[in-house]
Amino acid sequence: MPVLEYKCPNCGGGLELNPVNQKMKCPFCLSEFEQAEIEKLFAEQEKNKFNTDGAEEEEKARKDAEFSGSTNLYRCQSCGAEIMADDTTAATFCLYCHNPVVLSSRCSGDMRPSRLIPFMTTKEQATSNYKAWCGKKWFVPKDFKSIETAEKISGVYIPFWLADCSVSGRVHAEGKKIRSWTSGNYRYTETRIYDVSRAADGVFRGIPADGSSKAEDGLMDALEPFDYSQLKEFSMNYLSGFLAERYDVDRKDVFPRIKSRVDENTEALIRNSMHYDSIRILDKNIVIEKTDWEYVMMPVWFMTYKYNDKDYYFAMNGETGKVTGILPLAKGKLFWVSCLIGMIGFILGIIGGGIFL
Amino acid sequence: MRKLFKKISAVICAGAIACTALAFSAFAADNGRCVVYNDAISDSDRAECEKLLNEASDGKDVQLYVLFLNDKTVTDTQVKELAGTMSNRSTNSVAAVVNYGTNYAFVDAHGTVAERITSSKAQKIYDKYLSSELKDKDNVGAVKAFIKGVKRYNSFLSPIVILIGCIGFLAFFLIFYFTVRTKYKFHEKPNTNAYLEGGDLNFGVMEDIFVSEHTSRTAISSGSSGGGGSGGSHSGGGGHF
Ligand SMILES: [Zn+2]
Ligand SMILES: [Zn+2]
Repeated sequence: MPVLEYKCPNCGGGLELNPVNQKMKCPFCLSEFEQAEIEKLFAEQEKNKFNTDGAEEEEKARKDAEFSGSTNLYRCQSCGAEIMADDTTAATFCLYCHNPVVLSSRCSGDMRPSRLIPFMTTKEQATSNYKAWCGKKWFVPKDFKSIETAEKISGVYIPFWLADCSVSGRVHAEGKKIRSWTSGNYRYTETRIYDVSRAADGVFRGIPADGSSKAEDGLMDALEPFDYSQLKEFSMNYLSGFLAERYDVDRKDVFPRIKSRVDENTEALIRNSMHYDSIRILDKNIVIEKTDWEYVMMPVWFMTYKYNDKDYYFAMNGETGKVTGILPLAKGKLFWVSCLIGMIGFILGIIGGGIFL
Repeated sequence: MRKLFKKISAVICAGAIACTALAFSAFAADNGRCVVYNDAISDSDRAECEKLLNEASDGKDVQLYVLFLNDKTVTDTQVKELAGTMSNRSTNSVAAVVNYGTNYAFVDAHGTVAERITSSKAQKIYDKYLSSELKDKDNVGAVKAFIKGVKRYNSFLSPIVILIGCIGFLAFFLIFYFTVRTKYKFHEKPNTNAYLEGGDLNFGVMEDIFVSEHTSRTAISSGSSGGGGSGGSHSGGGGHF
């Protein structure tokens, strides 16, 4: 039962008191916090709120109004994707399923990102990068490589959450150092066992996670890294000529993705500091104490492609030009080439068998 | 005088023709692929066996011979020697000698074919092909089985070799197929460490406490090696049926 409405420092969900261990627990991201810690954080936040003057609030309200006044929201009737475009740009087809989209409303102010990285590559670059990337792949169906397919590439601002996480980790392990040598007719193996303890903390800044449920998470992850030094205050000018997707995945829902990356990386770094021949983890505790979020937009050249009723993707980082994608495989072609390779195996087997039997 | 000359010449001619015919038949009998002593098998069986062996040998690089005898006084060792003599008739040949007197048979290979039909393979020809037919006294069947056995073990493409080939095919096929497939599957993992301030964690605790030590000892076994080889242009195998 929450007496005071404390918000989760990681995802913003309402915290509840766990009666078993008297800790504050977030029901959304399952983080747990000491009550004292939370009260301290909360007090700091209150103080910050008190310090900000009205001017900043006013400025934000003005920008939100400008955004909502000149940005249209289009909705795909078929897959439900929501696309934003400014008054000068008309969204006509859905990025994900190529069905027509309809204007549904003006965008509301909370869809306005705080910052974005503008497009720094052109559609021509995206198209030629796409062709170069596809051309190297042998087993891609021919029509996937065609020019008409490449024409469908569109520039989209994809919503991203950037997370700053403060993490602390404790690991207790048993480490073994093994040394062996021979003397006379015997082989000796010496095993030295150590009790290993590590405690470390660190801050991860700007781990990105896309806020689009339609964009494949792995694909978006593969576009990393973005150069954050190019992040600009959001302005309507950047949107002109491009589409933008509206975020439909809340930070609460992307937090597990961020958490697993932070946990994995933290554990790996702690393990790296243990120099043993074998390590057995006895106990570990990795906690993200606090997460700060920023809602931004990243430029992505994007294309979807339907092949045998499955969706495939091509994406290029609109800032750096890094290319990635999920490609369809021409299974028939692969099968026959594999057969040919198999025949080489057959011939080698026959020759080998004939010689050795 | 002229009449006499004509008569004599006619007789000489006829005699010559008869002689050549006789000589030819004797030669054929001795040099046939299916040789029979002691009337061990019937004439019709012999003719049939001869035909089969000719079909299997004519124009081929391996010549086949079979000798049937029915003599209790001929020992197994003598049968082996006979098989060797039979196979010596060609530079590259396989011969089977069957003695119904002692129910013993032996298969002998000679020449380069002996490299493929080794003694153990010759034994297999006897065990797997010949013996059961000989038990039934089926001479034609035995010759058919002999031909089949030689073909199988002389063939470069024995079932085992084909099996190895198929395994090779499967291995190459699967390795290639799945390597390409996994390459086309999406598996890029982003680098999280790039977002860590300072590139590393700040370690507050770094304790390594020595707990215990133990040493184990194992005897080193010295490896042994062995090997050997055998040579010779003959190989063979046989047994009692
Ligand atoms: Zn939470
Ligand atoms: Zn759609």
